[in-house]
Amino acid sequence: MRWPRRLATAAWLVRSHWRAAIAVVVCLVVPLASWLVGGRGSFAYTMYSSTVTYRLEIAWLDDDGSRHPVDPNEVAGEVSSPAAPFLAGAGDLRTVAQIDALRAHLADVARAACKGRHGRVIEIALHERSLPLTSPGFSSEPEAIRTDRVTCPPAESPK
Amino acid sequence: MSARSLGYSRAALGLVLLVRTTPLSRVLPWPVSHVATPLLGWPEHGFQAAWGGLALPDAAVMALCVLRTAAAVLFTLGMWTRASGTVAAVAALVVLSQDAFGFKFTLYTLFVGTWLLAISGSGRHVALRPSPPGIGPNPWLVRAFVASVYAWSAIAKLRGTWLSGATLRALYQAHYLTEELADALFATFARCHAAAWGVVVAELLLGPMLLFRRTRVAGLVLAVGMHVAYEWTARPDVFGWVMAALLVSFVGSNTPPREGVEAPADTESITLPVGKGLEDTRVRSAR
Repeated sequence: MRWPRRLATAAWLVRSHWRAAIAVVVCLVVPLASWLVGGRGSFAYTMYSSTVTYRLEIAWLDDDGSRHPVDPNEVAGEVSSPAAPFLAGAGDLRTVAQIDALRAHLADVARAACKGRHGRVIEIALHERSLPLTSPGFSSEPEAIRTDRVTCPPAESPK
Repeated sequence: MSARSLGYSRAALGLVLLVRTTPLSRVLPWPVSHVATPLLGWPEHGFQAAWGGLALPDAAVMALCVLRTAAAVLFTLGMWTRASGTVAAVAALVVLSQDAFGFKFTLYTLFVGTWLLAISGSGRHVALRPSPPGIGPNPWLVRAFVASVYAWSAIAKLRGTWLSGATLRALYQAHYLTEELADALFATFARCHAAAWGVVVAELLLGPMLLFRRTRVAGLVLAVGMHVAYEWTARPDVFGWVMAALLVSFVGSNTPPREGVEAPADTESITLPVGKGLEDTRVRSAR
């Protein structure tokens, strides 16, 4: 079959089966790809299928390099209302269904912590483990730690 | 009948979309669904956490929020349904992408469901401005979507931590699962174990049961029962209401009209299928 005819056939197939094509993409390709690419099924309806226990450590560094802790509750007031619940009370271990956004946007949270702080540098550390309970046959996994460090813009670093 | 069901499904889902993305959400009895800003996704405190770092200017996000709301009104009322539903869904997904912390499967399902209903011919009935009969209503796209949500949700639970009951136990101890029913279902590891298997089996069965005509009624009863139990124990935002609106599309005939063909009993005119080399021919019905 020559290419123009193949293209015409493909175009006809898409025109006559466009709903089927959309169904395959929305119902199959997108969820499957989110498992294969990200490994977490971000678009695969994984709601409440797992839990994670985590805590946050935030600190600002002064000019001497000394660390000063920042209460995550204070930073919760500097982020959006959907982000605030991830920070409020996160100074202590807490269990939630997922923290994908927090993992991916630690630096954005650190930038929010710049506001009103005296430091020029904010350090943030996310401590997490995926199973909070010692249940029959399962023991808590070792703690994973992610860290990030941002330099605050000059306008937000009062001397 | 299935064409009319699509119209009811559209009106119901549009209403959920309007309530959940505007200050109307504050009438809902569960605070987790309340919108704290003028509209859902409205920029706050200059905080940005966009997917992939692709942040839009605040003014653009605000404009999209307003556009989403206006399009959602038209979609709910059944006016220019295909366009309004598509615009509402695209604007909603773009706004959602601007704050990764705001992503919830409830919202994602709501927005994708809106788009799929918009392009499924749901504006033909129960609409202030019924869509022209060019493309016949077809419920199968929405039905496939609903079945896939249950299937993927079950697949995500096919892991040891869920099947052992440990995840449900953790959610119960973290007060995600509350009320008397949760106390009865999740008080011990053995009960959590049984409930975890029950949820997985129910979700695995729901897709096939809903798609096959002979088991559809039982599937609808099982789905509604499951969402009532979820509402009672977990109150997962408006997820139960979103799914209930989409489940309406399963009510009615199992044999939707072919592309371009509408049942004369429901419409003023019918459109004949367009064959190879034939022009689209419209024939006035006898009514």
